[in-house]
Amino acid sequence: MKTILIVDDQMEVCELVDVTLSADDVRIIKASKGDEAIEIAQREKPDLIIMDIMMPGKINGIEATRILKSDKSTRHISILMLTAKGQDRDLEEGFKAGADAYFIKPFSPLELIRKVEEVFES
Amino acid sequence: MTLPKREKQAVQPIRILLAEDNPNDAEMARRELSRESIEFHDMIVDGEEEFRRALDDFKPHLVISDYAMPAFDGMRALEITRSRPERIPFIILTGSINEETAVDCLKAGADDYVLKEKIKRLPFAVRDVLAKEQARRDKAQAQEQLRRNEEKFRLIAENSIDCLWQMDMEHRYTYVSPSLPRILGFTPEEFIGTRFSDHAPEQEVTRIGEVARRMLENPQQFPHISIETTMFHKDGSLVPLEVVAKPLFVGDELAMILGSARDISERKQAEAALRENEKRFRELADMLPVVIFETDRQGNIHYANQQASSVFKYPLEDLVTELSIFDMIAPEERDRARDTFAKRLRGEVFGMINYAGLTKSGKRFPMLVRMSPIPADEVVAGFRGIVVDISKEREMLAKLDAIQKRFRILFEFAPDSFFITDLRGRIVEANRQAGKMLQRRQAELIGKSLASRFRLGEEERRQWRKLLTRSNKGLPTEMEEFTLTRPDGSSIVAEISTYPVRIGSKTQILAIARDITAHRQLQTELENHRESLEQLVKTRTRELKKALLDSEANRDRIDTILKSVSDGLIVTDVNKHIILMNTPAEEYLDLRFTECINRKINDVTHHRPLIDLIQLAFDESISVQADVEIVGKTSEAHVLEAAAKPISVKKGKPIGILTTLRDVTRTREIDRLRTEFLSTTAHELRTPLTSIQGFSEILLTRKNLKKADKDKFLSYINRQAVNLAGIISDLLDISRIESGVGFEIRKGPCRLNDIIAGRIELYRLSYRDHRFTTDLQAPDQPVCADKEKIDQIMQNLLSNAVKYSPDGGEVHVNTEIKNDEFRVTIKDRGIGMTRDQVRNIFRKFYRANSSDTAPPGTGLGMSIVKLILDKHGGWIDIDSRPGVGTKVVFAIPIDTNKIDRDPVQGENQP
Repeated sequence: MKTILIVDDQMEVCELVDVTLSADDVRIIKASKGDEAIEIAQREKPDLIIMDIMMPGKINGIEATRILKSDKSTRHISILMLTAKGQDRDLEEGFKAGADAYFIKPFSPLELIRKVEEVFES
Repeated sequence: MTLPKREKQAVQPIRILLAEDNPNDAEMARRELSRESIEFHDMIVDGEEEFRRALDDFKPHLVISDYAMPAFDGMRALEITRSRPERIPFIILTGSINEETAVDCLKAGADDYVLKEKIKRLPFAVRDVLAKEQARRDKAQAQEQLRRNEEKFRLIAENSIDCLWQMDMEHRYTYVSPSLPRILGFTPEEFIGTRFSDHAPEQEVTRIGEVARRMLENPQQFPHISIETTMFHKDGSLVPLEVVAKPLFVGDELAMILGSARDISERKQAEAALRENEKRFRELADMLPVVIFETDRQGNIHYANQQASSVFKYPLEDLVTELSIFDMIAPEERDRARDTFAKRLRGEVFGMINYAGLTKSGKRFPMLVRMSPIPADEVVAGFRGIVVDISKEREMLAKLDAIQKRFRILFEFAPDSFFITDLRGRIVEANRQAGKMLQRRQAELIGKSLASRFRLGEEERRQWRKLLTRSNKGLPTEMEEFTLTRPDGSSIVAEISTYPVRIGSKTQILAIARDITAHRQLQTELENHRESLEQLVKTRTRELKKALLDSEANRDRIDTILKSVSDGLIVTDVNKHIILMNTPAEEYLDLRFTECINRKINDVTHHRPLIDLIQLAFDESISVQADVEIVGKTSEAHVLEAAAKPISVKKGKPIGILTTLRDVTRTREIDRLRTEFLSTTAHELRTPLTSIQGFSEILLTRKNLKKADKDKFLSYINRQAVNLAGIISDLLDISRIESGVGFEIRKGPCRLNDIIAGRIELYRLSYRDHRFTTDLQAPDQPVCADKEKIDQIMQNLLSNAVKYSPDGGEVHVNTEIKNDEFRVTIKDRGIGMTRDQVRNIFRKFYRANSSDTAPPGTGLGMSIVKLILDKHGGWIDIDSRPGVGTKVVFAIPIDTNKIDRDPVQGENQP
């Protein structure tokens, strides 16, 4: 059973990812804030976190990534950045913060499935 | 008849010649005389011859003769006696005589006769006769004396200048000497018989009369009088006279008054002149600033001038009556003063003597006293002197002394070497610095010639002698340079100037020497520097001039360009020196060309990027361009596009750099905002697209979806599509506004409640997590407005309410009519806004939170809302508190045809 945590301030996007990825052997947890994400990650220890970079609140996606990657207990969790096209600067920051991969929205759900499989394989 | 006083009689015995033939009678006579104690020697004769002889030899005092004698008779004896020159008293002695005979005898010259029968009478007769004789003799003598006196008197009188006179007892002039006319104009004849009172004024007569009376009453007390009076001259004028008068007694009786009269007009004048002088003297004495006094032999003050009173502070009265000069001297010095005074009395002479003076109040002051004796005959009668208060002089001396001391200090410790030499250049005094300069003790220098101490060379000795010559003439000299050699062999350059000075009675020379060795060295160095500097400047200037003026056309062109462009222009040369700078450049860099010209650019500005840009252009000989930030005077930041281009006149290294500065702040800002806007917009568009693309794919690819899910997903797609449409519409509006095409309002009667209710319903569908409540109180009356635009406003406000309450929650809408306006209120309990955010919300592209974490939005919505309301003549107000919520109120006039504000001014502000 794989656990995937999706973090995005837009509920629709979380739902879309949920619909796309959930399966018998895949559990989806949804979060809409960075601090929420950290808490869930520490607790549930998901196998993958799909993190929207742009989120309101004190802890945005990049900050959350940084925190999770520096925490011994969550360091090992792969983080997939979800970003709008053309935000090269944010991507750079994200990678610096320790993100493992990125994915652009708007996206095709099928392509997302493929990407996730890719991440799990690596 | 009283007996004459014995004192008058001669002490010696009298000699009696007795002519008597009868010895008995003779004897009788002798006896009688003895009885009466008359001392006598007698001689008896009875003949004429004997008689005569006796008269010659015996020289009797008295003859007693018998009347009747045989040889010769008494009458004959009498005759003989009387024929003699001297008068000898003669007594007839007779036996009987009758009256006639007696008378005859007396007539013939006998003094008396005595009857022999009454012989007892003889002594008395003798005494009587003798006395009478004596008296006669006395009288004769007196008269003779008088006559002689008169004779003498006349002699004197005739020869005297003074007028001598005699007055009888009736006070009538009996004699007046020939001097009278000279004195009173009258001749003596005119005066004789007249009285003093005839020639003198009333009051004089009275006065003189009084005096004369006293004199005559008491001749012992007033043997004579000397008095001044006046008498009338013949011409009527009054002549002052000094009259001496003396009563002349013959025996007891006043015989006459003798006297003299002297014309004292001159004396009077002299006296008047003297008094005048005296007065003038006193006045002068009182004016003089010295004390003048006169004393007697004891030192008592008899005269003092006004100054004496002011200096010693005593009233003049007291000084002259009660005080002595010793009172004016301080007690401790009085002994010395008395001593000196005593010496003066003995005839010793002194000059001015210093004493401590003492005033009445006891104040002491230094004074000088000088006295000289007032002689009177052989003796010193007193002293006359002056006192000079020298307290001020003392002060002056003290000051002078202080000045001297100060001068001494200045001289001694002056930073330059001071020498005082005699006229031959021999050192009399040298100060400390002089000793130091010559490396000798000051004492060693005295007495030696200055030239030898300085070890001057031949040439310089000549120079020095010139200075001396000038000084001898009493002239100062200019500074002249000398090279001096010191004992240790080192030499120094010194500037020496000389000044003749008078010290006491001598003329000496003050020579001032200043060591200018170091100064000279510095000068030489400076001179060298200056020369090389001059050379550099010349070279540089030449190069620059050549470069710039080489081509006339170029220069003119550059000038024209410089003046006309609005961009900043700076021209720097190979050494980064600023050669040209125009006004815009001055303003950008806050410099003034006049102050920067020919200075290195890095010296006048700290702007590293600019300096580096120029350097790069020069180093690489390429054109470089970069944005540089400049902070202006008012601390706003400006972005300048700086372009540095090398200036090459010929191939090879450029001779300078032309830098242009263009203010692109605005441009960049707009660019930045546009970029931001576009990036935000792009992002905004992506968010709905994610849902649309994603959910539509799911719907297409997943076969086993529940109907509820399908519906849900479709609603998502729908709402996002609508959202997208809204965004695009906004963008279109903005582009319309930007392009100036305008933003049209089409008004018509609207039922606003319906529009609002409709929009809210749609939102309910789309945003299920939020609760939308309404209170549409406004009546259904139509309002003149643009239906679509009002709907647009509602969309914006509702979507904000939803956007800024991410937790969900209530959004409440309320409508009402108030003040002829249709008012709409939208309240939410979202995150709220700060005052700053509220203030800026209507600015185009303004995003309350423009970070990546902000809720999506283009930032255009509210500016469009404002624009719409402006066009309707309405207004909008926002009340928000962070963490609490937001209340937005907007209103439109019911009949908006009346009001239609032109919002053009406010619109285009970013």
